[in-house]
Amino acid sequence: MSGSLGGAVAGLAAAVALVAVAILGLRAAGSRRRRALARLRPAAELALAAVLASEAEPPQPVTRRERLVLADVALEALAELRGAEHGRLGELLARLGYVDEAAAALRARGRFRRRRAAELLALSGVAAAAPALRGGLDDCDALVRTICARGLAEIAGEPVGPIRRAVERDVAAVPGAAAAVVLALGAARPAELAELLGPDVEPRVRALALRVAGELRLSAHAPFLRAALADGGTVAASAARGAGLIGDVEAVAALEALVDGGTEPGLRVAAARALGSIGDPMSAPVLGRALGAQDWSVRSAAASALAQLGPPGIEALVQAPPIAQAQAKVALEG
Amino acid sequence: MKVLVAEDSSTVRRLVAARLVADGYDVLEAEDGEQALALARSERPALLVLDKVMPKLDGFEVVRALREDPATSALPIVMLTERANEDDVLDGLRLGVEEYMPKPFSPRELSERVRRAIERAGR
Repeated sequence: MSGSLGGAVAGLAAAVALVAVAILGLRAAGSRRRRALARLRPAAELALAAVLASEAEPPQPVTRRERLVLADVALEALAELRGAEHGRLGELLARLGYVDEAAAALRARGRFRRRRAAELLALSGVAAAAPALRGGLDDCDALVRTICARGLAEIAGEPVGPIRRAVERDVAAVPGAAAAVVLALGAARPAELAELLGPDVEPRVRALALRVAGELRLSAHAPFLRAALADGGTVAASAARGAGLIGDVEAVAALEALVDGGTEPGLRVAAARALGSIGDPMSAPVLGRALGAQDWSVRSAAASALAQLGPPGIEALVQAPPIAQAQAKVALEG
Repeated sequence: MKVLVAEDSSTVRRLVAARLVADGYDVLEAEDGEQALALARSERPALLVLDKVMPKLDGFEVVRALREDPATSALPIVMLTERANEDDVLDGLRLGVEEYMPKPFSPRELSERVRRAIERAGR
């Protein structure tokens, strides 16, 4: 009995030792691989930099590791660049076969491989990537879908409808990735952002698009922002912020109504801040009344806005009610 | 004419350096804020291309230190930054940053801004 127990324990110890050796071996191999890739990186960086800065011959990676490192460096560069150099780098990747490789990898079983492939296709910006990106909109992984949508958003001539459907489908699951799609569309094709600004668009997507229109100062979309002020919630708050960033004086009356008569503190705050950004001194009385709000964030926003309106605003701060003394003091000292 | 490029991403640093070398500048490279400050003081470049987010000392800390030193207070600076918000731009302008290049950036545009900043500084 004790012999068989001793045998079992010895067998178990041997198995654990084997597993430990295997794990250490894999880690060592991984570490060697990373060091090998790191050694190749400076040459790849210099080669790409030379191609983009001059008419240098493009690199011709030979080994699988060289291709891997060049793709990594190119991905990083594509994310940092815009303009002619971005276009040339995308074309170079297509010539070296990376776009075709990535299009094939977009059908891989592993989602991380598909995500990396989608990222390269999306960043390349070349029209040749569009068919694969369109196919990627039906992927089972939300990140692959949104990365593909982002890529399509930056390719001129691609219809916005499938991009919109992808964002509406995934905005709840991956809101950051969805926001990146909307931002990409607004930056690359500002006029077409209008297709995400109407009342029929999913509210979270619409709020993102209103926010992007404001952040990118797309004043052509001011009518959409004004219309959205009536919708309440995050849609109206995003529209208010956007109207302030654009400096839309035609939105002042609607913003003042939100500050005066609004019931949602978040919306009153957004509207007050927008009035401060627009800077119309005639808004001082409305903002002065908001200094008496129960919610401290509304009082604070009103005080900050008044400080941006010149003498009428300063006067309202000096005469602030007791409940707003602290906020008025901060605003006056700012 | 020497230009110092301070950027922690080796890929971006080499891209910018290659562009500026093609324009005829002698390019020095720094991979963090401390190195950037040390090189700016020792090499006295004609201009500094500076990333806002860097290890050890960030871009704004480097600008502040340079502006407080009479030997480097007039050094023209072009700052590379993530999609710049208004507060960042205002902070930078108050510190004396000549030009802002939001990322993603165009190396050709950067090249032109470097040339103009050096011209304005009379170097």
